[in-house]
Amino acid sequence: MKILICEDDTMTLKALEHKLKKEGYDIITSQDGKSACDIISTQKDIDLLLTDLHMPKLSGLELINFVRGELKSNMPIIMLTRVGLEETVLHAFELGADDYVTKPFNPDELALRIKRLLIKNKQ
Amino acid sequence: MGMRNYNLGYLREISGGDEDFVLDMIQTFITNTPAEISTLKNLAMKQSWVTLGEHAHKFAPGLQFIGLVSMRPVINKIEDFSFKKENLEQIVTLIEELDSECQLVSEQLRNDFNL
Repeated sequence: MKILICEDDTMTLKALEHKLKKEGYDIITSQDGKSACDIISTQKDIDLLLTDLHMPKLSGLELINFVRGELKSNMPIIMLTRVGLEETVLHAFELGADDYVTKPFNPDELALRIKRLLIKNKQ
Repeated sequence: MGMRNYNLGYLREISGGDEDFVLDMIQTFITNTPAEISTLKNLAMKQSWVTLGEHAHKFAPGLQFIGLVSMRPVINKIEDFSFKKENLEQIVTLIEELDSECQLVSEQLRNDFNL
């Protein structure tokens, strides 16, 4: 299973990549929303998108809008956000995000949420 | 080893026992932090408060990985004051406090891990 992680903070990105590789996933990374759009447009085998909401070039919200609105893709999307951004999270759900995880993330909880969404999406 | 201002518990939990990953994260913190703090200082000097708030927001996770718990309220205040444009006179002092603590922790990490 292939996961695209879109996160502009280097340490968070490294931590996510490390944890999810240990869980057995193939990982692609991007540090801005624009390049994530390019990756999703060209690589059709991505199974799940894990994206920060605040990113340069194109925000997480715009990225979700692109995936759902333009690409018409139903790939599971999990948002990464910090506590205190509830309004943004609600907006992301309206745009079609499936779940969210707050930073600093609990590694085992994140792995379970990903697994659950991937199973659900297969059914 | 004396008292340490960092705590690698969370990082080790994520690492799953991979010490190379822990060292890579520590090195990233040591390498990237001076530039991050310099950016915060420059933005405060330019009074670019919203951008400063956004950078503070981005900087916060790095502190969590290194377990710099004492700096959480400091970075939260920098972010909060910047976005709300309140208590602006305190921001430079808060960034200095953050800078001193990060320098101290970087030094401790360098010594403890022979970096």
